[in-house]
Amino acid sequence: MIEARDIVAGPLRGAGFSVADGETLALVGPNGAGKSTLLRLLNGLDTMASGSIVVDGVRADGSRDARRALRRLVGLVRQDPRCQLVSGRVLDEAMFGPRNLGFTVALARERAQHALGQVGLADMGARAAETLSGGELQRLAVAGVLAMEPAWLAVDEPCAMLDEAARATVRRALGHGRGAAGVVCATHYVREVAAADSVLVLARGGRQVSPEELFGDSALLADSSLAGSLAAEAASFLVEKDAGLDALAEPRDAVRALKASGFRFEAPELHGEPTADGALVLQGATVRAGRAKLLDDVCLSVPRGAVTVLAGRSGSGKTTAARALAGLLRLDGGRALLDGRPVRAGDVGLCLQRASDQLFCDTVLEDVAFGPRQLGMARDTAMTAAREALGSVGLSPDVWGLSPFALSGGEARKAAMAGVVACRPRAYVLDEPTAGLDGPSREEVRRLVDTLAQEGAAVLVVSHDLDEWLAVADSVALIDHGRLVWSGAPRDVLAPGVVERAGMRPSLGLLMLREATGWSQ
Amino acid sequence: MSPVFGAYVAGDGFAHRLDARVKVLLLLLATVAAFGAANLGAALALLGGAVACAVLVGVAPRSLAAAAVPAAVVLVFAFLANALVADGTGDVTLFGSFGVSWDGLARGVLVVARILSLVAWCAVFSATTSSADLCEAVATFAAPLRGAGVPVDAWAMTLSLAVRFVPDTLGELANLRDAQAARGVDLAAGGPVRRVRRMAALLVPLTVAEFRRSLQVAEAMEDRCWGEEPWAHERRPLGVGGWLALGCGIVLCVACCGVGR
Repeated sequence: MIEARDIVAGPLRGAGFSVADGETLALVGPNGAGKSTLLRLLNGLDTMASGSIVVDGVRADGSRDARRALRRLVGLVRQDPRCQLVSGRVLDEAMFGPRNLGFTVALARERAQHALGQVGLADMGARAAETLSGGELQRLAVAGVLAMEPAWLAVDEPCAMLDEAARATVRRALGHGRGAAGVVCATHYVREVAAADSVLVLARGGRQVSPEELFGDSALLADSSLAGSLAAEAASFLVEKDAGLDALAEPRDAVRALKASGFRFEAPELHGEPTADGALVLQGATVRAGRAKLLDDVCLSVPRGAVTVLAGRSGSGKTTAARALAGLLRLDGGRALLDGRPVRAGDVGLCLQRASDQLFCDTVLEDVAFGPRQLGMARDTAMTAAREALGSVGLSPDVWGLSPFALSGGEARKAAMAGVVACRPRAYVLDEPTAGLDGPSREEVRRLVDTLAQEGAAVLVVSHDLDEWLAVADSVALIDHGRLVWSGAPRDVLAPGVVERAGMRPSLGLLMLREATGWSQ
Repeated sequence: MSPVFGAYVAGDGFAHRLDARVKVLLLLLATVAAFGAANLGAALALLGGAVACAVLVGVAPRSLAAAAVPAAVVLVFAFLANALVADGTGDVTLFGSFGVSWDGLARGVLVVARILSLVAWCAVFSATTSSADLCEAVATFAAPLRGAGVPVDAWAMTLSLAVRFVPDTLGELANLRDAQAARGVDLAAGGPVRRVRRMAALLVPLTVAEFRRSLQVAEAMEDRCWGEEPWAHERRPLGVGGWLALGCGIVLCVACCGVGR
C-alpha cells in the first residue's frame, strides 16, 4: 500500500494519493508538473520539503534507513534506458541488482534469466546491450529491476521514445512482468492511462480519479494534457456510452467498440495530391555499414513550402536519411541536393532526437542565438532572431535567462528547436520533434512546422507516429530496412495495408483516420 | 551499424569463453611484448597477430583503423623523428643535409607497429570481455588488498564502467559534432584561436552530458542497491584452456622480446 499526502517537492504542491497492493496508478500532467519528481520521492532518491509518503509501512523521511528500505521496495525505471545500464552484456545487466543483494552468482543468474523471460528477452542474454533496439533496451531496464523482485515498479514514461510496435512490447513486459508488484507509471499515452486502476492528475495540486472519471470530465482531461488526441476522443466517447475502456488495449478492438457505440469517425481535411519539384532531395542515396545497407538507393523529394513526413519503425533508416539530407553523412552512392547544389552541413536546419544535448551556452537565449552568430549574423540581429524563435516554439520568456541545463526535458527540446529555427534555413529536417512532449506542446510543434512550411521552407518531419502529422503533411514517404517502400498523398497512406507493408503497426489514431476517410478494413 | 571501437561484441568463440583473468594477464603480456619486441620482425608479427585476432572476434577493420586516427599525429611524429636525419649521414638525401636513414626508417616503423599492436590488442580484449567479467577479474587480482581496507569492489566497478562507457562517449561526441555542424559550427575553418573557441561547442555539452550521465548512472546503481552487500564471487578454476592460453602467451612474449636480440 502506498499512502501519500500533501506532498510539497519541486513543482508538486499538495499532491496526495493512495494505491492498494498490486494496483496500477497512472501519473498524468503537463511537462514539468512533477511526474518524475514524484517517482523519485517514492524510491527515496529525493526528499520532500513537506508532506508524507508511506510505502508498505516505510515512511519516506529522508533518512538513510528509509532510502535503503524504499529502494528495495520500489524499483525505478527511467525514461532513458541508456542512463541506467551499467553492463555491456544483457545477462550481466539483469544480474546486477540481485548481485548487489548478496546473492551467489548462480542464484543471481537464475533470477536474471527469469526476469529476462518475463520481458521477452530470454534468448538475448549473451547479446551486447548496445546492439539492442530502443524497445529492447527499455525492456532490459525493466528486467534489471524485476530481477530484484520489488513490491512496486515506478516507471517514468517508458514508451516516450519508442514506436508503436516497441511500445506494445514494453507494455506487455510491464503487464506480464510485474506479477504481484503494483505500478506507478508516468505517461502521456491514453492507452496506458485507460489500463490503470486510478489516475493522479498533477495539475493545480493533484487529484486522484478513476480513468472513467478522467475521460468523462473535459476540464480534468485538459488539465491532464491528454486532451486533443484521437485516442483521448475515443476514450471519452466510450465512457460517455458506458462501453468501458478495456477495448483500448488493442487498437482494432477499440475501433470495433467505437463502431458498435455509434461513434462518428471524422478526419481533418487531408491533402490528396503530393506536391512535386523537391527543393531538398535525395537521389539514389546509399549508405553502407559493413555488409549492411542503412540506406539503399533512396530517392526522396522534400518540396519547398510543404511538409513531408518520413515514417517508419525504429531502425528502418529514418534517422540515417535525415542525416544524409542535412549533409552530415558521406554517401556511398547517390547524392543529397538543396536547390540543385550538394548539401553542406549548416545549409539545412536539423533537429536530432536528443537535440537538447547540444545546448551549452550560459543562458537559453544565448544558446538559441549561437547558431545565427555562427552563420555570420550580427549580435543584435541574432538576439532578435533568437527571441522570435523562442516565442514561436512556445517557450515562456521566464526561462530565456536560465541556464539551459536547468530546463525540464520538454523545455530543453523546445529550446533546441528554437536554436534551429533562429538560423532561418531554407530547409528543415526534424527527427521525432514531438517525442516526450505533452499534448499541448505537441500541438505547438505541429503549428510551428506548418508555419515554417507556409513561410516557404522545405520541411521534412521524421516520425514513427504518422497519425499526428497527417493533418499537417503535404506528402508522406514510408521507409523500411533502408528502402523507400511507399510515397504519396496523406490521404492515400491510410489505405489498408500501406503502413503494414512498411512493417509499422497502425495506432488507434491511424485506424480511426482510416475509418473516417472511408477506406474499408 | 558496426560496433564502435572499445565496445563488447557478442560471440561464443574461444576468446569470448576464455576466463577474463587470463585475458587481463594476456593483455599485460601483449603490452610487455609490444614494448619489448626485439626487432622489427617481431613487432610486425605481433601487430599482424593482433589485427587478425581483432577481425576474428568481430572488430570491424574500419573501426580498428578509426581507433588509430587519434594517435596519428604522434605516430607520424615518432616515425619521422626516427627516419629523418639532419646531419647529412642519411642513406638517401632529400635536400641539403636532410635525408632518410634505413636504420632510422626501421626504427620508425618499429615504434608505429608497437603502438598500433597495443591498440589492436586492446580492441580484442574489450570486444571479448564484458565489463562485468572485467570487474570480476580486477576484483580477484586486487582481493589481497581488501584486508588493508582498500575498497576493491568499488575500484573494479569504476574501471569496468569506464571501459563500458568509452563507446557510448564516442557515440555522444559524434552526435554532438553533427548537431553543432548543422548549426553552422565548422571545426575545420578559421585560424587556431577560432578553432579552439569553436571546440567549446563540442566539449562543453559533452562534458556536461557526461557528468549528468555519470550522476544518473550512479543514481541508477544506488537504486539497485549497489554497495549494500559485497558481491559474492565465483571461485572458478582456470581450466585447461585457460592455462594453455596463458602458457602460450608467456612463450610468445618471451619469444617476441628475446628472439634476434
